[in-house]
Amino acid sequence: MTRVSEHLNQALHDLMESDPSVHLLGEDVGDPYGGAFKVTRGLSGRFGSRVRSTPLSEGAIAGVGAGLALAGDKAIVEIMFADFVALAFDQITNFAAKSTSMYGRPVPVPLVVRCPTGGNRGYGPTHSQNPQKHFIGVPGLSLFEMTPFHDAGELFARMFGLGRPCLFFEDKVLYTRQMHRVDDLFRYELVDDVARVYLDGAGRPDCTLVTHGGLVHRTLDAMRALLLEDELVCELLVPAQLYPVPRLPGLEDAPHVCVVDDGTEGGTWAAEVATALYPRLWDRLRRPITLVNSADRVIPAAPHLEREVLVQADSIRAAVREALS
Amino acid sequence: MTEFRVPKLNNNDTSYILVEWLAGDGQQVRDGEPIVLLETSKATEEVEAPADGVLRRLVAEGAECEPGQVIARLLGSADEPVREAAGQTTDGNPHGTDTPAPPGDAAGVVVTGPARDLIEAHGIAMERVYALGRKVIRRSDVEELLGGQEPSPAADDAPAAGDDAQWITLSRAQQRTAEVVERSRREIPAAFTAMNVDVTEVLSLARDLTRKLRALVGLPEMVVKATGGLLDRFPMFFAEPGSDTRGPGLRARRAVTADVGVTVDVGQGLFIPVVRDAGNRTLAEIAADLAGFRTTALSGSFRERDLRGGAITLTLHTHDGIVFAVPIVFPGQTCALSLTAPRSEVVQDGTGFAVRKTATLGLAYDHRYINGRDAAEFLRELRTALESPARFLTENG
Repeated sequence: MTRVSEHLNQALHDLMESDPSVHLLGEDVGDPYGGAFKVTRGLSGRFGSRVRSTPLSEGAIAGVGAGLALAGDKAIVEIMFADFVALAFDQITNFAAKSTSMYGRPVPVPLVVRCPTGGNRGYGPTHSQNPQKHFIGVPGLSLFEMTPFHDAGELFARMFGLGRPCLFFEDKVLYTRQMHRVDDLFRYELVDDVARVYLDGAGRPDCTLVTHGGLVHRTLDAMRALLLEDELVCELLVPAQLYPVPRLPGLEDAPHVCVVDDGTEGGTWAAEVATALYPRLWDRLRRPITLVNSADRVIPAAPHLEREVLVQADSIRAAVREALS
Repeated sequence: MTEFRVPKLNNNDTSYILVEWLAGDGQQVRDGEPIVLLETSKATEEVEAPADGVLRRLVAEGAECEPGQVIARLLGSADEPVREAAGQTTDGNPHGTDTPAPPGDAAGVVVTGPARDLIEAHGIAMERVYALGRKVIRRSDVEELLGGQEPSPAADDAPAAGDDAQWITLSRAQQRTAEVVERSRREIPAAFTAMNVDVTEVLSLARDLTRKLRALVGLPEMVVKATGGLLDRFPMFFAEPGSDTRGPGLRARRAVTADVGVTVDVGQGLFIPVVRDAGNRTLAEIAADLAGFRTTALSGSFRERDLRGGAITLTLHTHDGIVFAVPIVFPGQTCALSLTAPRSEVVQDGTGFAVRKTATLGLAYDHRYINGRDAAEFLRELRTALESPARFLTENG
């Protein structure tokens, strides 16, 4: 049994060992601290100056990472909390992403910006957000998210292979969960890099859910209740690549689709997924795609109020029941 | 035996979340071996065993714990034998225990809750259910087994279980509130009158006084002060009904001082602490009393002496948008006032119109002692005081 944080840590160890051109930068990433969530533990001891604990300046960190990538090396940058990536917005969107194609020839920019994201832990308004929506539709920039089903090493290899900067989101609630573990009712398989979680032998699902890594467990809890209490069979698709939205498998016979996203309402990843699916499913959909998002509110610090703002298993269940009623 | 206490991991958190036990209950652990994962608001930390021993967990995964709290014991070999910990799960993912687990003896057949209810209601053997050869058994599949016969209505009526989760228990403070209002309803024939008050000036005066007195002065403070000034002119409104509240011998005991109770509810229950002698004390003192009450309500507990012996009660309904409120008359008193938050209203002003701040004062009163005319007079005096605040303050200190 491996926790997601350990799995990520191992993937970083393997990556830095196998590829001497990889550098890692971020606040407090060096030992003994090893990153705010311990994902970079043990790296500074092994790889010396290739691992740098930086001053508190997200703009500088992202800019230096992009510079290393532009100069022929590879860089992984850790933003301590995804909320702070706003401070690196200019370096990521105007420098790193544009550098891929503004010099008259394609230029690889192998940069990965790691963002511990999401809430439901009582961390308050400035340490709980999901800033994904602000980075959707930036030319030259890709978005990925860690899931319990995808091998982190393979994802790092893929992101570097793209030759363009990538934001890599890691939902904080996943760190302490186990890899490759799914609810005992369901099974999962990887289809073209999208994890498909399904009920074996149940035939056509009543609803296909699409979500990102951080909401997998809440969505599975909802699927469990929908099955055992409401007799509705759901299937779940979890892409690791969030943007550009990849082709999602197995939707050909889905009577209904529901996209679950913990970003706050308005201009969301969920809306982007729905936009990508409509032309493909237009003839078969019986009703509009359901979007489940966190409320259009600042995330409260008090846990009981935070729960009301963020997407929870019961809100997912209620949305599916409502759509299918 | 060694007690295992939560270490202090940082300076800004009062509690941490116990995310995961890294060693099993009853497991032998060695000094320095990581045994528990704690999460602060900024980080997760593995904490090591302080000594060799057999781990006895005292706190469940997912619970909050505070620095210094004992969350486990490490038993030496001489200690009592450790009973086997059965069925430890370490994924920290508890499913609702009321969801029936799918039967394991039937190669992963899932039976939904509604289907299970029907199976149990009709005593159908599970073999027959499995013989359907389906991976998911829904209610409709069971109805098929019943040969299309209508499911008996009894099967549909799930009996209300004596399940604690279905009941909301009241806090002790709320139980006490319930007793008081029930008694009031039973014993006091209350009537109600409300009056609009222009509070534009009193609000601006309150703002000035807040700066001058360095104490929060708002409309409630002003109303307490103004109410206190009415004791001499309206003794019945502050009087205590005699113990014999029936028949020809009806009497009420005069109050010596205007002790005004004010409702405070910050979500921990309703309390009515009392501002003593509101008529003769300064606004600064009254404001300090009320500020103290709010602090106590948020972070402490009232003493009985704070809550005893009010002569009249002011109930605050200062949530935005409330138009008026009918208070309950406190047993032992003859009336209760209610106050709303100020709102903007367009009022006639000479030949034109002006925007003024108004609030509604309500008065619920025991009609055995007070009539509508008295109530209107009382409210009018209060309104006069609030609409010319400078005068009532200079007259009343």
